[in-house]
Amino acid sequence: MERKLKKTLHKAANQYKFTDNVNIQSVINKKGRKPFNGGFKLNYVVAPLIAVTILGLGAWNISSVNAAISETIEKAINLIVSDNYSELEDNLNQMPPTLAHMAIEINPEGRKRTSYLSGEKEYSKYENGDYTVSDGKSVGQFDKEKNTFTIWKYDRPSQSFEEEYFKTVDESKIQSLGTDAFLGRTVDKYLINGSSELWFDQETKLILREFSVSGNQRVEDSKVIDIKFNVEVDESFFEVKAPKGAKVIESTDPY
Amino acid sequence: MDETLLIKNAKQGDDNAFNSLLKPYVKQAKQTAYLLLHDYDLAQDAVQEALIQTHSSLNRFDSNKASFKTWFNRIVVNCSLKQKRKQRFTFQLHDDYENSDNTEKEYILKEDEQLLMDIVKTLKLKYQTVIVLHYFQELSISEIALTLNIREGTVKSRLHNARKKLKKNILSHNSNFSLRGDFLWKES
Repeated sequence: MERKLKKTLHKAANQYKFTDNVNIQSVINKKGRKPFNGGFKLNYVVAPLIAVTILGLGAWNISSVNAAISETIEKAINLIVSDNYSELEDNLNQMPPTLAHMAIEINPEGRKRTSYLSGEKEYSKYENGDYTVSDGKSVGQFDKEKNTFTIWKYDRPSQSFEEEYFKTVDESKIQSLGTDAFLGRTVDKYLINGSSELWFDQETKLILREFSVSGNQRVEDSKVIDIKFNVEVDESFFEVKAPKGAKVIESTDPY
Repeated sequence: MDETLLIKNAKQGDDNAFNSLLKPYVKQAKQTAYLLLHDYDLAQDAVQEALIQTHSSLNRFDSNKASFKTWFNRIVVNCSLKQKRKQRFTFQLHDDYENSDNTEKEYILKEDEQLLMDIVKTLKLKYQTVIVLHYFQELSISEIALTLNIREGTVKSRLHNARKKLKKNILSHNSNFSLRGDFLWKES
């Protein structure tokens, strides 16, 4: 089987004419040098808390270590952020199954979405009734107009790739913008030069706001207008189960 | 110009040196990303992201810790996996981000090859990754460990499990095929 596998992978890899051309300036111009483009907000499972991405910067005790923050940041801010991804995941996994974080956000088109996150489970619903739900093992998407419920197996990564990603980011490109208040919460603000501005909730380590930054421009793709922590939900809330009467489509592709 | 000099010049801001430095690796990087993402456009995007990251963090590259090839490969794999997460973590409806695989393929795979690829796709990402690095890039266990920043023992165990799952899935996935030695046989 191994020879067959090797041959097939090589054949599959050559199905397209991939070139060896590299023009870094053209790539940078094209992509606008935004390494975080979309990735953070769509960070965790069903990206429920979209601009509320679940990151986490607060590996420290805010009140007692505040004074030491700037010094720590100067040491290796990217590694601090990197370390916090794993801590964030641990925190989420410790949530009881009957509690969830909830966020309501509006995208630039004015479309409203309500999202819930609990551990590795996620649920997100649009005003028109479309929704996505994940129990951590599979994902279901309901399309109200088509009345279909598509189910995918969900291969949740065992580790945070952002954790690795931050290790490669030059720490000089990240700077602290201090603290602020947002939706009644205290947030730590960070600027990733030429890319993003991130507002981390000090207590929960969620990202409450994220802006794309290019030059002097700062654009918020999707704005959180309300957030509630530890709201009670039924254990069956995150069940990947089709609504009555919906046509179920079992996808064989990984989600 | 040798690689060490290209790295030195690229670190000093010479983009032509950077382009020359990456040229030997970029095609395989795109192919690797494609095998992990199964989508031409996403693969191109992942490699572009990897190039930007490589460019912006080149000063952090330390040749005492890993070869440039391994270091870049690691960024490519991470960017591909990140791209995969972006795909799956999108809260948009599926139709909004369905593959826009419009680029024409040079050829299509034979039925048994397509079956094998379909089965590889169903493996967990961590298994797909070691399969691609070992059987496509033909990296050794230690090279994979360095690339993924995991222990060699973990690589071995992932490879073992990946092979086991592949065999099991081949036999259960489609009753029209059976596995005989190195070959998939179509039962008539």
